[in-house]
Amino acid sequence: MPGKRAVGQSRSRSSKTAGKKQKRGKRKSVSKASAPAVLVVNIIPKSLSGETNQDSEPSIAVNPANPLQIAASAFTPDPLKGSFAPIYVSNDGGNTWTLNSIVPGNNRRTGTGDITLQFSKSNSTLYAGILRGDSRTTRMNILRTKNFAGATPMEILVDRKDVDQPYVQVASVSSGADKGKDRVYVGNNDLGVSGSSATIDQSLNGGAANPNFNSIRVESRTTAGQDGPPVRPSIHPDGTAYAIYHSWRTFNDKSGAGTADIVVVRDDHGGAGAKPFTDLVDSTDGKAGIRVAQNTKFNFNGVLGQQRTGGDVALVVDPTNSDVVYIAYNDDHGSFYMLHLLRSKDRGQTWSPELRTIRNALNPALAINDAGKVAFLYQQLAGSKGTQRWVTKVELTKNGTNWTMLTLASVPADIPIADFDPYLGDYAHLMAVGKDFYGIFSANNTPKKSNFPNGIVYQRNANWTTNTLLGVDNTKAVAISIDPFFFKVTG
Amino acid sequence: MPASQRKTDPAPKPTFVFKGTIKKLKSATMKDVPVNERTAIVTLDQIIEAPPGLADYNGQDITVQLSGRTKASVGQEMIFHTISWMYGESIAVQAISQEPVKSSHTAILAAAADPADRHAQRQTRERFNDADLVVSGKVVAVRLPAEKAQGLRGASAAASNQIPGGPVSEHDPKWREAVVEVDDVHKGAHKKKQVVVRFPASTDVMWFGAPKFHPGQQGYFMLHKTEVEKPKQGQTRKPGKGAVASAAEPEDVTTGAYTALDQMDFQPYHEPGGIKTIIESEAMMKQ
Repeated sequence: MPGKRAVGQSRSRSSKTAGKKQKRGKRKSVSKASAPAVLVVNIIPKSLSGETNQDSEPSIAVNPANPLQIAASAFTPDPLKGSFAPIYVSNDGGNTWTLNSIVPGNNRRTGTGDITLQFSKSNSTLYAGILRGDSRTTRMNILRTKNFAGATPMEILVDRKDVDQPYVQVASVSSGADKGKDRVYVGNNDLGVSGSSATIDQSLNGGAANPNFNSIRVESRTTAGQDGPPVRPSIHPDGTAYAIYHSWRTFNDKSGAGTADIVVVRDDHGGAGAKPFTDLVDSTDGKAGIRVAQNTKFNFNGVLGQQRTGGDVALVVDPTNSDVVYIAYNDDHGSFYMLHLLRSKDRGQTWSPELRTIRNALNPALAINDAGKVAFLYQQLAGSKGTQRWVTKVELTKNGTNWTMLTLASVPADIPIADFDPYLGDYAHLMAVGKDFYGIFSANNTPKKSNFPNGIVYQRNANWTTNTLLGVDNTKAVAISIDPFFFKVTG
Repeated sequence: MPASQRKTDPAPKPTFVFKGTIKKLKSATMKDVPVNERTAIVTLDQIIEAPPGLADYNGQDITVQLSGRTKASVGQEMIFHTISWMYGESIAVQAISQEPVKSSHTAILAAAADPADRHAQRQTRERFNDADLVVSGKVVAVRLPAEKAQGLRGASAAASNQIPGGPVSEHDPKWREAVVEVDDVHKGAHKKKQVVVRFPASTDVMWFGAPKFHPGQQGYFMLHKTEVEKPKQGQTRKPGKGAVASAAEPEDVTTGAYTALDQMDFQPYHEPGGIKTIIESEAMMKQ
């Protein structure tokens, strides 16, 4: 309901009160039901069975108009070390995958420097936000293609330097004069501006021949010189657009330690007005953007296992009701990297106590299906030193109280040794189309059935008896590495 | 097509070169490949150049999208110069060019060079050709660049302050300087006994593979004069349309620093091949 202001007290939280909320969070009911059908697929193609790349930081895009068409990405280089980085392509709903090198600016060893993908909801155009792998600076490209499985390289729509973590979302206007137009939102941290770096590059007609993108600075407060890297938009079909970002309050350049507010902004007209993303005002300071949590601690030099930390955020709006929005964020609590999940039922004005609080978990991703069912993906470091494992879980709920937990993978955390940061990625990804959830995560690729409690399919060659990866010749042993894993949970 | 793109991307160079025999026309080894008149199944008879992961495909059938309009027929043996296309159950590549096997190909086909070695050597040669200065020597010190050291003296930022070291990103290169005592100059001009080389100490994905120097390292250094950005304190840019990156660099860029950013840019003395081979062949040509 655009324009609605819920009556209620803003419940901005401080880190001091967070401990109490955690205890409440622990009391939530979590069961290990196995009712939903789960498909997990290692998406490295058979023809690349010999590869040992660190294919971390995955993203996924499912074509809403045809869910059999799925694109995915990771830090995967072009196998022939050419000019274009690849995306992963599935034309059968994620059962099988190919690699298609169509992304400009391939780096011989890592592909891109960041990449996220999203399909248009109305015309099957695939959009991407990347940091070019061939650039010595953080050079963002916004790209598109009308044929993600074709050989033609993606078209460059925006090319700008000093930008970090482009995160693309696409909405299609469902009625009115703009019906059918693609609204493209690319959350990013624009380090080319001083202070208010949290930014959304937005086009109200991404499908135009020469689309115009505006850089919207969503930060309204004085920062510690800049905001944190993640800026995550989520768009409702009625035009309501939300975004969450990590608003830095203090930062120590030497230690990497800082404090940040977790801020949610909203625009009731898709960002089309004169003052975009200012419809949600914090009554305590009168500025745009509700501070859902204040002065949360982070350390930009922190690590959890071999994965760097620094403050993750995620947000999703309920497609059945734009008043309802879920967020997840991380902060440091003593030695724990804590993951928090909260909900607002009044368009972001007030927030629930913590629905879930999870120790040493990161890479949160959220999705809500067309029945209002919520899925919450994260990766948790479990066990004690020497035997630690990365456990990738998805939790499902219809009400925020009763949760069904599915373990997608539980793999050794110390193998392989990281080639680079990030080890698993600074994000994983999840989305819903219809009643089904589609996601992607990166993990150790040891071919061992017990590592994947809900089943697993490998395309690449492997011996499941000796738990060994095999090369293209199906004989030569191949070292364990990090691979991207697609999953689908039938809602 | 928007004005910004593709003009800045150089024409792709073939990275997978092989002798093959056309097995079937208008056909493909993978169901996802769109087949047309120029799509062919080709048996890989001999791989001439390939990255390591694809050097083991001899004898296999793959899909080739033929270039141009040159006629091709089943059974014909050709040399294919190709780039990536698609990888699934099999692989599909796009030919930049292909030509019938001729007597002029005899030497390259007879050479027993490993395709992956040939690929690596060609890449090193390209890197050497691009280098502004190639020296051999020893790293005698590693230090912070002057402007970075200055920035870190005041280390905290609260609201309303600038971050002393400049904007913070997980992709920050964390520049360091290696002071290299020069034994010999193999390319370019350098009269001083030492040369300062900037390198990224960062372990971030954007700097994966770049040499991480430490005192005592000895070997060959391929150095490139690269624009290295200074911290942008107080820089403000007007918000507005998605700007197209200009060919001209912004004002806050330092030019002229020697950098080593690629794995190929440093080679220890004891390692064979690579830069050493190129230097030796250059010396022989001069003689």
